[in-house]
Amino acid sequence: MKGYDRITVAVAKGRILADARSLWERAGFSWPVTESGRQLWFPPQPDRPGLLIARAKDISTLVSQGIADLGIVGMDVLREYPDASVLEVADLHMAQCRVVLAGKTAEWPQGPCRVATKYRRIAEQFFQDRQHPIEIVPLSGSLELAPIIGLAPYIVDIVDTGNTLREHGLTEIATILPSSALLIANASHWRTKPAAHAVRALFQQEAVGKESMA
Amino acid sequence: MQEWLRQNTQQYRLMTALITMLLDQGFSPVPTEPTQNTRFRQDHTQAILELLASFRSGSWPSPLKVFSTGPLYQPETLHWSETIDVEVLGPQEPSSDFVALDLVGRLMSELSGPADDLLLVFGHVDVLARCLLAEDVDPQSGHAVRKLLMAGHLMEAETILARSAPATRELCAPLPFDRFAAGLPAPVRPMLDSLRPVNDRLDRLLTTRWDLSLTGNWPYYTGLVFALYLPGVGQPLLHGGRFVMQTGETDWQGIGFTLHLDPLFQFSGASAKVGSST
Repeated sequence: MKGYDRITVAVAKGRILADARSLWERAGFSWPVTESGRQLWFPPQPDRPGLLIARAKDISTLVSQGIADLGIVGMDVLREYPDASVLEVADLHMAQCRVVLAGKTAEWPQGPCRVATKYRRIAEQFFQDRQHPIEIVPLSGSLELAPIIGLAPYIVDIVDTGNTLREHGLTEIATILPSSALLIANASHWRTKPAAHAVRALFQQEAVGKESMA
Repeated sequence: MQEWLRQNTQQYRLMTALITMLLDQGFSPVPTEPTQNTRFRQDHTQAILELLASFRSGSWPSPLKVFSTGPLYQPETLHWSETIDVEVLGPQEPSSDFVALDLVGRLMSELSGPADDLLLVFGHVDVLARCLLAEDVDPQSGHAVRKLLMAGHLMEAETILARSAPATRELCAPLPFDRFAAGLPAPVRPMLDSLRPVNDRLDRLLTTRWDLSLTGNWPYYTGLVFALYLPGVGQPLLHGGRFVMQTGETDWQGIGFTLHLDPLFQFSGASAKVGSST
């Protein structure tokens, strides 16, 4: 009796969800999501934890409020929306990417400049550490268009292979934050539900195993 | 609407029951403002101490036992939560620790009677620092570990500890008192011996565990920290710790804790003890 039927894991939609499926199945749990289904909540069963699928920004809220015991979400989202009431308990070594500063050339910005981003906090901290004045242009998507249409000469965005940047004639100037999917935990549930530790151990074992094979 | 009004009534009964218990235990109310320096209040302690520091006579009872009521703001979640903040001010350690923790036991006992499912987890930021020193971790790295734990970055802290302080790493999980004490370096163990009586007393009312990864939410904690959890409830019922803080020209020492009324209401479950008393 591992108590998995008392654990719920919230997983971020998108690329992390696809990687989480692989991790979930390697850990020995059956994946409840069907290809055609639109269901987002799968209650816990004796042989697997419950699964809750939500937007990346909402994962730490679901975990901090105790709706989910554990969550899988990118480090970039956790650094942009920090919440000390959730615990980061494992690096799952998947959905690896990085938050970068990019522009039309590889040169560091000269003087005060505009930076388009959906990572306001990360970008402000990065430039503040370097004592470089910037004006943030908040955007929620299609950031790579900003330098082309003259909205801002620089962007701070998440990249995986860098293909999208190259296709838009942009070059990476600096890596701000290497990111991967982390397992987070509700602090109360972490200290009162041993099964949460068992799920972490399984995920960690599989994540590290895959990382060392790569 | 009736159900909503009934629930509100129960919550207010819980709050008034807690306030009555504090008054009966000799605690005095200190009214604090919900805003501090143009920001919403995230903590009562500083506001209480600033008010008390405005009395310059210095002839305070020792320990000085006070409490403040009102909501706290959590900027990460944009959430307000109703709280009661309790402070036992005075230099006496561990005796004022006993007063505060004895009060925790009394409050929980009044609300429900002995409750084995309640889990009171203790941490100790000074014990953590001394354990790290005993494993030759320099103070700067030790400070970095504490900062990581405070921010909830358990994974990064565990990685550093596994490499540089494996014995301390083993103490970063909820352990019974004896197992925790046995894992401490010999020079640190006497610090815990003085807390055994209070641990044993509380262990009769609820379950106690010790976990060095618990460091409290505030940088002003200097010693014992604690949080009370109920399985299935996603927020601690209360949390607090021993602190040192300066306000104006006054240096304060004490131990305090914040009671969170939403999870406490879940715990009391509108119990007969609170709900039917009026």
